[in-house]
Amino acid sequence: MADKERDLDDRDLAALFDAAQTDDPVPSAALMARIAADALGAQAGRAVPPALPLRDPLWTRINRALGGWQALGTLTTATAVGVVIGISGAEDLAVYVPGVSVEAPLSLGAYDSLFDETLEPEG
Amino acid sequence: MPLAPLPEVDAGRNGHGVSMPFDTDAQVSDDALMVLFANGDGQAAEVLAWRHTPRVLALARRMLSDMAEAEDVAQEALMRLWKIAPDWRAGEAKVSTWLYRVTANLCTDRLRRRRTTDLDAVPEQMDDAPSAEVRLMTADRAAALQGALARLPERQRLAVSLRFLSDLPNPEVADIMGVSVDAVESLLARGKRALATALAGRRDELGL
Repeated sequence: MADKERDLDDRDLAALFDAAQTDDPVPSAALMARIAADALGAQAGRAVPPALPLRDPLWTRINRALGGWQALGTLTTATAVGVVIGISGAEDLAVYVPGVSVEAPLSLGAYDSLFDETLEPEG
Repeated sequence: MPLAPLPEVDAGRNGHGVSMPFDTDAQVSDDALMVLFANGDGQAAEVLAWRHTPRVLALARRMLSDMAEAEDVAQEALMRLWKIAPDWRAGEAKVSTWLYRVTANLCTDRLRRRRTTDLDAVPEQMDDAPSAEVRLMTADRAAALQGALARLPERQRLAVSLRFLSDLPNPEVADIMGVSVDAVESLLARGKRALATALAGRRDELGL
């Protein structure tokens, strides 16, 4: 009974350490594949970006899908221009196409004159 | 410096993984492999990974008592090795020591996060599972030791793991932990004493 209460000695602990070493985990094939993929990514100079978990905010995922803040800025600008054109009306655009009136029906003839001027040789 | 292909190997010794291939490139130093890797040699990465992942994984599991977390830590430690390869200075530090230090720090971070999270999220200790009669004594002893290790203070657990389970000399343990050799000896003495007391009541069960 007294022996049961006695603390383990160094020899007992050595036996436990030996057993623990024998039971050490062996890396799984999946783990080694992940590590190999990381190595390839690092060598290519482009670390593989980790997939964003679903718990990330929706806005973060949308931003990433669209290509980041720069792409988002371009998209916003283009959208704003479209809205302005839509509100102000197509009449304002006529100033960019001389000779064409949005009030008259469109005819190919109006455009033909434009091309004639463009293609007319100089001199 | 071409490296010979790694040979096929037997199935894993514990039946749930793959075993480490024979390290036919043992004559190639870690420092040389780091240079080869930095220069784009893919097989250097393979040899480094097979040489170091098992020991890193083993330390992480001893510290965390959770295999999935240990695998994540091992992957992260190796990832940091790949990233530092172009700046690696041969002869300044051993790759194994550097990896052990990174692994220990990653485990410390996770243990700290655990303390701030719900206790339900903490994995159960490995020795809480009932031992089936068919289990080998070796597995019972390993599980009992792991359970007792998990209850040690973190620094004692790390010192005991590195010294008695990774078989590192005291000066290297001190280097990894960033403390003096005297401090390591103190941690080891207290750790062993705590393990001996914690497992005294299981002497018969463990065949000691």
